[in-house]
Amino acid sequence: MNVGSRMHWLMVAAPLLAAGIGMAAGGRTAGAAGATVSDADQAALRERCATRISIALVGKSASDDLLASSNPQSGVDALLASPDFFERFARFVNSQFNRDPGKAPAEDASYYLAKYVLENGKPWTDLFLGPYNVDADDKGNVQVTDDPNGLGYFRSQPWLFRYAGNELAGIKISTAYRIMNNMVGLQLMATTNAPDADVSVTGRHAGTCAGCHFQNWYALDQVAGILSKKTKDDKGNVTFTPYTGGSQKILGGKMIADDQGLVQALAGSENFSFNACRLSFSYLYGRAENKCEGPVLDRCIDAFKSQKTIQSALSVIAKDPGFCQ
Amino acid sequence: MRTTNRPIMNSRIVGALGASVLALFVSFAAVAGCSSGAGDPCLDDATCADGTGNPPTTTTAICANFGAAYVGLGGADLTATRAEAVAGVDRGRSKPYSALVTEYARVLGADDNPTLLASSGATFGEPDARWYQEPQASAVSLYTAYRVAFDGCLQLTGVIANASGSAQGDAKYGVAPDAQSAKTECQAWARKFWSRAPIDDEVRACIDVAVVSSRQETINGTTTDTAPARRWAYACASVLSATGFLAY
Repeated sequence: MNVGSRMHWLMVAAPLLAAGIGMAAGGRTAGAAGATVSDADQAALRERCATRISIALVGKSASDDLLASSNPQSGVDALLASPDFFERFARFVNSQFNRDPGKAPAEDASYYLAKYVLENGKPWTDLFLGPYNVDADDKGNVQVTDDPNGLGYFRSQPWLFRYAGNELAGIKISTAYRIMNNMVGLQLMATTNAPDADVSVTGRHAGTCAGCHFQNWYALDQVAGILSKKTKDDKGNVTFTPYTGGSQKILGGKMIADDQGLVQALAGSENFSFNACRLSFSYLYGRAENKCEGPVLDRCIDAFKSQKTIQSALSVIAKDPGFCQ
Repeated sequence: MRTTNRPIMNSRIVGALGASVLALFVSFAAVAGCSSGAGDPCLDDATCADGTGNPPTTTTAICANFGAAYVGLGGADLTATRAEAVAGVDRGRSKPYSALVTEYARVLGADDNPTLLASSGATFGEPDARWYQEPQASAVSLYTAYRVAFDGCLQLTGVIANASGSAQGDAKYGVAPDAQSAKTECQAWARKFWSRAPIDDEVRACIDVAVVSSRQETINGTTTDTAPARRWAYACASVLSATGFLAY
């Protein structure tokens, strides 16, 4: 039956009515004050809780068992151990760590390694510091393999090429930004793309550009300065030349000599734990935490620092009574 | 570094609440009728205390505890960008397509699964491979949601065959709805589809579809009296395409 082939006047009117009903429904359920007479229906409350938990964590309807549970939040850990969660959260991470999906699967290294870290119960720091390589095999299938020289996905070739950038002297500003964005949630906006703009190091030193490129703790040129340099030959082949200039003072005063030192410093910062919990909160709420939700984030950060896994962070937030209100 | 983050008393907080909270206030006011009419229950509501619908001018703390403060690299305050709002606001997220494919069957019954849904992934924000997308409601998605709901409700009321291969609506849908029967059914649908009891305004809107708006329908330019089961399906679809079902 094809409803769309027969236009009814009610098909126009009814959605408007539904929208009106929806406004009322949204108003009731979204309000923080929450409790009303109808909410005394505890079975209904538990159903809504089960639905919210299941869809937020795995993107699917709650199971019959969860819908009937007297405490749906007791099912959080089981959902966090499910393949549906691994898939959905890896996709979420990939969408937060990149502007767009990769043109080739291997460019979505954060998706593959996040899924690997989740499936194997690894610490979240392994995503950035673990000895892995993410690349396509001979048949084009993307694999996560052990690599003693690995640094999360940051030294994997497809990712390196994707974010090598186009700086004139081969300074990998784009790589530096992407590492800080992925690890601590740094958000910057490139403001100059005019045809005649001076994008050389001289131009980046000038005016407001210097703030992001040379002056703040995340000074992009300085952070990129301890990374390898991009070199392009006459045929367009790109290679990377390791940095050998010794330690530089970056990240607001830390002495760092290479990409591994950079990633270790970021992983050891307060920013890292805070960002892991904000990422978790955004996954579960569809937005960042607000001021009055600060205590939930505090508990999340405590759990994450103690247990190291991103599942521990998500568990605290999803099990908080406020999540089902 | 983590330190204590103290709540502030304010007169600015009410005005600084997020847009979603303001939208919530508007939608709530629209339903509750935030006017100064006699007997208006809104007069007992703090948000309508001056009878004008304007926000209150009293100063209150939005919450007692903002949690800890965090100082990050370069001495940056990591909590600086937090919105000033009470806990638990802004929760109505649109259900993703991956959930909708089972949610309709959950509330309508396994056999009453709208066939239109299978080709509506893009409308409901189904993401590309390896990607995630927060679904956003739009005019198109709302209209499609109604069409999907109507499809499922036609199966539920037995107007068309469902997955069992035959039309299997309950006999009660063969009788045209009246105010009483519609009220009973609308309440049951709302409880089933939304996992909560509806408020009176919501029930009235559904009854209106069943009893008034659906009496006649125009198909291909010809207006006729609507068959009873189709009237029930229209009312059912109006409940099934509301945010009580489409959001979580």
